[in-house]
Amino acid sequence: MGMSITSEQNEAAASAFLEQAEERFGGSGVTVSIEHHSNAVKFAFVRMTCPPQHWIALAKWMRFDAGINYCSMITGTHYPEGGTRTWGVAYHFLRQPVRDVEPFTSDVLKAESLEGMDIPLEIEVLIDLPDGREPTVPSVQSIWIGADWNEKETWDLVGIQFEGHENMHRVLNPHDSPDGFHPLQKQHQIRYHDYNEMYDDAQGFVRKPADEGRVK
Amino acid sequence: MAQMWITMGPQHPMTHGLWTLRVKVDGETVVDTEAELGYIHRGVEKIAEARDFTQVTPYCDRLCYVSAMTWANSYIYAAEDLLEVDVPERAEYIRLISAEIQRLASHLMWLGAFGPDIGNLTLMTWCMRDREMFLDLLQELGGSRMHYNYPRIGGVKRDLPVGFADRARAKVKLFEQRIKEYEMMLDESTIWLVRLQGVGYSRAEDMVNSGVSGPNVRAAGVNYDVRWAHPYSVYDQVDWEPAVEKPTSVKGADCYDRYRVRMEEMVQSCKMVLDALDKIPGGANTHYSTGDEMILTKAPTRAPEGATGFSNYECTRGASQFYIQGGGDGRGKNPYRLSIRSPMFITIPYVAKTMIGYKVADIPAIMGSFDPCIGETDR
Amino acid sequence: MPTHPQAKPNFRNLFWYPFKITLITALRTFPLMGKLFPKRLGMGYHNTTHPEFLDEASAQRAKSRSQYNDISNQEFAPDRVTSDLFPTLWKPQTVQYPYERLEDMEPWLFVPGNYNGRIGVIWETCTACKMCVNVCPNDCLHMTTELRVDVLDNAEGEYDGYGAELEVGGYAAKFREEVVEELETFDLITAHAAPPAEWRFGQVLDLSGGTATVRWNDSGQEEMLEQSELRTADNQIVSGRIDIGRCMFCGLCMEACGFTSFFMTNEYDGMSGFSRQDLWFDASRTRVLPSVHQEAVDGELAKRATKERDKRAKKAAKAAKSAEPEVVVEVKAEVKTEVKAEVKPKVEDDKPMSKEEKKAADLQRVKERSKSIDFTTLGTASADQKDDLQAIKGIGPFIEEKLNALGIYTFSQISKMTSELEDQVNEAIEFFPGRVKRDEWTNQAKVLLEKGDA
Repeated sequence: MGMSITSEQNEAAASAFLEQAEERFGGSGVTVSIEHHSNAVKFAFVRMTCPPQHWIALAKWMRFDAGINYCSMITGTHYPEGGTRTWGVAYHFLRQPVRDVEPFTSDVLKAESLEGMDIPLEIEVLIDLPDGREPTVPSVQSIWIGADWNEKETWDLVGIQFEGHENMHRVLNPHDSPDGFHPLQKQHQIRYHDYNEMYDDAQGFVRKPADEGRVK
Repeated sequence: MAQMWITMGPQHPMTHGLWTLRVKVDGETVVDTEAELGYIHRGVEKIAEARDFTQVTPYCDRLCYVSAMTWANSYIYAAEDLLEVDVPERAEYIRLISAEIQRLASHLMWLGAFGPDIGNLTLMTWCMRDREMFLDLLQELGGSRMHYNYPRIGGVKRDLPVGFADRARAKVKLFEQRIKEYEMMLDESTIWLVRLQGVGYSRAEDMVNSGVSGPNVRAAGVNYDVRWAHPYSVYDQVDWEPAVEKPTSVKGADCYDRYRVRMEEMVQSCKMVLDALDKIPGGANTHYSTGDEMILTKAPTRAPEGATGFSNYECTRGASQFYIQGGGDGRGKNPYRLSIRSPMFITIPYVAKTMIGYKVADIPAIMGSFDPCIGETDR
Repeated sequence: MPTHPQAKPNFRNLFWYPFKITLITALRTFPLMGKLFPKRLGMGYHNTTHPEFLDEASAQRAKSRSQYNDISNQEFAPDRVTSDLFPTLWKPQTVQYPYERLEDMEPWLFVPGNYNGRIGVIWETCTACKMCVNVCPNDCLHMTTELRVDVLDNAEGEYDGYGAELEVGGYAAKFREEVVEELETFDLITAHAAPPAEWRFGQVLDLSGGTATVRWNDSGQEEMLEQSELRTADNQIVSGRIDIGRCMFCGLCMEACGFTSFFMTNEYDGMSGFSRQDLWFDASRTRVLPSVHQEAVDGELAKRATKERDKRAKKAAKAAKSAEPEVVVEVKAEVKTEVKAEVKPKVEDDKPMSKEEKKAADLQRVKERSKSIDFTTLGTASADQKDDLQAIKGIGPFIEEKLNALGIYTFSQISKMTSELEDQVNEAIEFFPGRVKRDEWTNQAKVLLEKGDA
């Protein structure tokens, strides 16, 4: 039978992390909560919201004290309707029990025997940026190496600046894309966004793409 | 001696995809590298904002075309988190079977490309021949050999075809013998060993900190696998062990360890498929009609604003994640933001740094051993 | 004399050498035999000696280049191993694809039935619900209407007679006998074009006695034919176009249809073309297997004929019951997205009323309603001030007659219609509800007036 982390372990890990985080950051604008997924085995994960000015402190604490060693995803979103926020950055991290091993040995983890800080855990950090044309978030490039290219991609596609990020460059768009062109912002719509092509220009031979003639 | 930047340009037989690797060489030694991605950026994240949740699934197949079923499954789990749908157990078993057969096909594709890099062209033909067996199985299941559009929110599109179980068992059992042939050829081959051992060391903690996961990390001695650490399907009910290799040096895992880990993963996938076919509820020879509640739950089609869905899935190359925010066009029919985390997007810059210090001739070995797939990298 | 050891009779000299020489000689005849008796010995490529050329021009071209291209003229074949002494007997493994198919020769390699192949649509059963159009991620489908012969109009046997009748201003079709032979050998899978058209369409100008005057669509010529040679055609038959060039064969359209009319066949052939326009498949290129098609069409035919028969039975029953002279009940067809094939504004009873009499009765009825129309707003006009009302889109010859019967003759009258009047006129001429508004007769009339003045 395959092994897997049980929901008790998962809940224990989530609450332990919650306690630690509350102790350290309670009341400073950082909110911590336990949410549950609605898919698969409905495991718990920790969701934190953080104002941008506290982000570096939180990140350092997470990496060095709480053992969150894997930065997996950085998502930037543009909310032009505003409301409480115009820009949002969502970070996803994992705490993985991976450590260097001696040569010719392997660390075969048994899921049931993991405890404490060894239990894998998912953490989500949401940073909402208020209205502004220049959304800026402090960069965690020096804290997790994995955040490096994720931040490049987020700036490239969404336009969120990462303060303190060295060597920021275009990673998915062409290098000579115009400054300020960030395609995932909502004012850019993909060609034929509203399915209007079928009835006036069946195969797109009449319209020309916006970047026609450009050397790519 | 003067140092020189060489461009292993976007079109190159050994880069396994469309990306540029610029290496700075001092004689034969690599001194610095730079990776340039984005040649196959198709804007899937932006397209998804203009499509229904069901219409996004074929796009997710095309993210990593070599391993399409795992990527479609990964997206579907995130959509199910967003729309709060339960999946029947038989559908979970079918997803497991399809994902593991896809893992076999993907690792064979990797080996079939990696062998010729090292010089062993026989592997290309052997692996393609064996991969055909699994592609035929997936063709019966999903309707086409590469882009299946098979999983649906709440289940799968159709049930296992009649006779599928017998054919799958026969092919998997045959393949288990074939793996032994591969090992006979490779593990005793001097060229193979000399080119792979001692090359491309990477340590586990460096890899984890850099965001690398999957078989690349398991080659360095720790058997962390999303399938048991963040469990999502019925992996705890089938008989398997995550494949792990003991690194041969304090410097970490070399290319040979990464190759061995994937061979071992293929063995484990075979075991999983056979076991799942035995344990599937309803029996592997029953064929339920499309849309039957044993294989598909009716799912809501709209997600309110503020709802989010997240999935953590073990793709063939690492841990892939999808993050969907609901409330898009069509009063919630479309996602507002679909964000895709590709393991290879993070691994490729890491690989580029791993190459520093080795010879130019080691570049394809190191690059190939990390199993790059640029489709998922550039999305 | 001492005997030499090699001179004694021995196995080598008496048996082995003769055997070897005979064997080698026999083997050396094989290439020649293969050349002389290719079919019988199966020495050609997979049971054929030459690929078959479909037309004379290709065969001529091949013959002129045969010293280069014809493999039986070659002494060295690239996929065979040959030598003078030991020619091999292995046949080449190449499958000459368009003429042979691997799964025909080795049937255990099958293309599974649920392979997402070429799109096939049974248009007769399509209800134009447009679910497929909505679900396609790549926007490949386009639903449209087409001029075709409805299945019910072409039925023979037990379902004959339930179709629509020819009417002036409608369409008619004549079967083309010359394509029957061509159709028998036509293979949709390998042809790169649509099958030849079976019907010749024309517009009915006049009906009298047993004959009809038809203006053919293809030539514009007018011809008078027997009505028995013609079938009714309808230009509102649902049809569509599929852009195979844009399609990614994901199968979502097939699922959206509920698997009733829209299929992805398991054919991977028959989808190529020489230009992108060739990849716009219209209805005739999206056929399914003839047996499947026939089955679905039969089912649909039975359904429609039964519905029609029940309707007529009900009418007859009602007619028999009521004592007063009844009004011919009209069946208003569904408008908007339901483009059903049976758009029939009038129902035929078993009453022996000819077309002209019916029309006269309709016009009479409409005339009686003219009292309810407010002509102070519209203005009155007489027949000699008549404008060509058919210039307005949506007004055909019969509607024009009805409008005239109502008392509306000129564009200026129509242009003065208010919203309420539009509805009243719509009802009075017994047209589809809301059509006058939808087609904006008022605005069209205004434009035409300006153009007339200018």
